[in-house]
Amino acid sequence: MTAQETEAPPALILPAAAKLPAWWARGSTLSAVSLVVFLGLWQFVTSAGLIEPIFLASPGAIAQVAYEQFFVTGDIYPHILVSLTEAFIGFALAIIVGVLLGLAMGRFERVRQVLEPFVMALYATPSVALLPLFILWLGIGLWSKALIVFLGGVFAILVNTIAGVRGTNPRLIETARAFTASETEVFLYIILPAATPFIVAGIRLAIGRVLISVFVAELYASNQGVGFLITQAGTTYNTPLMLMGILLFTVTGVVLSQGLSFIELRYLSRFREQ
Amino acid sequence: MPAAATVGNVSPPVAPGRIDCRDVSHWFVKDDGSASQVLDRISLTIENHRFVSLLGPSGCGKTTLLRTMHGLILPSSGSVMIGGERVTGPGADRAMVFQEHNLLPWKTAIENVQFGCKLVGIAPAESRERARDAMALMGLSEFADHRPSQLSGGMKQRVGIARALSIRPRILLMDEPFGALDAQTREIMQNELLRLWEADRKTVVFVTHSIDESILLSDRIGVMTAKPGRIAANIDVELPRPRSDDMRSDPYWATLRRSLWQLLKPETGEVSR
Repeated sequence: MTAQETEAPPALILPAAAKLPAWWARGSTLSAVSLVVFLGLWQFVTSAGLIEPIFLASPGAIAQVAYEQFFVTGDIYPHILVSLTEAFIGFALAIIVGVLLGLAMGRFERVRQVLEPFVMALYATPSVALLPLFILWLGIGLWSKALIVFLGGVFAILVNTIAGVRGTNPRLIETARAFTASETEVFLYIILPAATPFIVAGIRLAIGRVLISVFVAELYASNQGVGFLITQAGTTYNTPLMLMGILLFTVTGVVLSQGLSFIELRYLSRFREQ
Repeated sequence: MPAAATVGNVSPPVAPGRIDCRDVSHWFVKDDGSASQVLDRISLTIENHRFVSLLGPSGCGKTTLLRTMHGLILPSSGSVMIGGERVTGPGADRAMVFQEHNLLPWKTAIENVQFGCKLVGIAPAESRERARDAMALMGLSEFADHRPSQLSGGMKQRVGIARALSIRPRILLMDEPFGALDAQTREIMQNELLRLWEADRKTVVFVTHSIDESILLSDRIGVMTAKPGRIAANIDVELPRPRSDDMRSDPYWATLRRSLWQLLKPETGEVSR
């Protein structure tokens, strides 16, 4: 056997491996393929009549409904607007209160001791259980639902912010003090940046809870909103419309949390200590 | 008291880089509420432009003593005077180099150095210039824009030293700065420090548990014993300056090392021989 022949096998394998197109090598490709295959199967079992349309609408039927709702009748928009308003107000309040209260509770032991029993009690109470009370207080309009959304989202942010502040490396704080930093400077330049990744992670966790709260609040007492639409479609056996409503929640959740993940990866990884 | 010292209430001039510890005692409150004494009536004078090591086993309070000199810790009793003035908190005339580099992970090397300047109130333009100079002095110019996670242990410690030097302190307080480095890097850093010190001979207080390190670097070694922390002896190192690694083979070195070892022997075996 010559030297040339012994070297031949790797030479044969390499071009074969190189033949795989670049898009195949990416992990996202497999995810996309899996999604398409799933949709294909779904379409097949529904249009082949294996499942009653009333139990599961086909992707095509859902797309049809979505097209009508968005581009023909436009009936969906008021619902989306109502749900978005509730979600936005509740979520914004949750972020503001969660971050500010979390910073204060993480920084000042006394504040934490005073507020902790209330936070723990509210955290342990399923916020949805308070909905009848809130409706009594605020009526069935926007504000009772915004309050539920707020309660649904605030604790994830609050708890994470406290953990971020308290988890700040004490050696970094001491270093800043050694360079004559004031308490304010320690807070602004050390604690706040160190807590930022935790705060963002808390906000990301809160997204799911906010969406759940929007849905449940509209389920209980409402005459508008995507959650209401889903419920109503369900009770009238309009399965395609119901599934479209569910997908609206899915898409919103995925887009928001993926967006935040991207920001975390792109801009916040440097705040973590290696 | 001599009359001259009280005339017009003017005390005799004290060099700004001089450190006087007078009867410094310190207690920490433990988790169970009991107090544990770490420093026991330590009196120590460090003259201006001197390089002094505090040598002792872990837990002898040498780090605590260093922190009282900086003002990061105020002693439970007694006082620390810097240049004749009582220390009541951290000051910009003294800078600390920590055992762990303590760099902010979200800032680049040069930003970390600038950050020190910013905190002590140096204007941004001046800070940038000083940071660049200090980085150059430590041979770090190429790595200015690297983040701490991209630097080796030795380089991170150099950034820590650059950060301390950039505020142009009179006194440099170093808390086992090379303790976490591998043996070879440690020797390189010791020689770098000697070179730096020769340039302007700041007052340096250097905490270490390595006998050889204290001999190589110091004019004087304060040997500390533990529980509670006391200064057992102040030993002068009579090796000529500038120091070099060759002196390790000097018979004087071996003699000094033996006597330091004897002083520390009653203590735990944590001091490296």
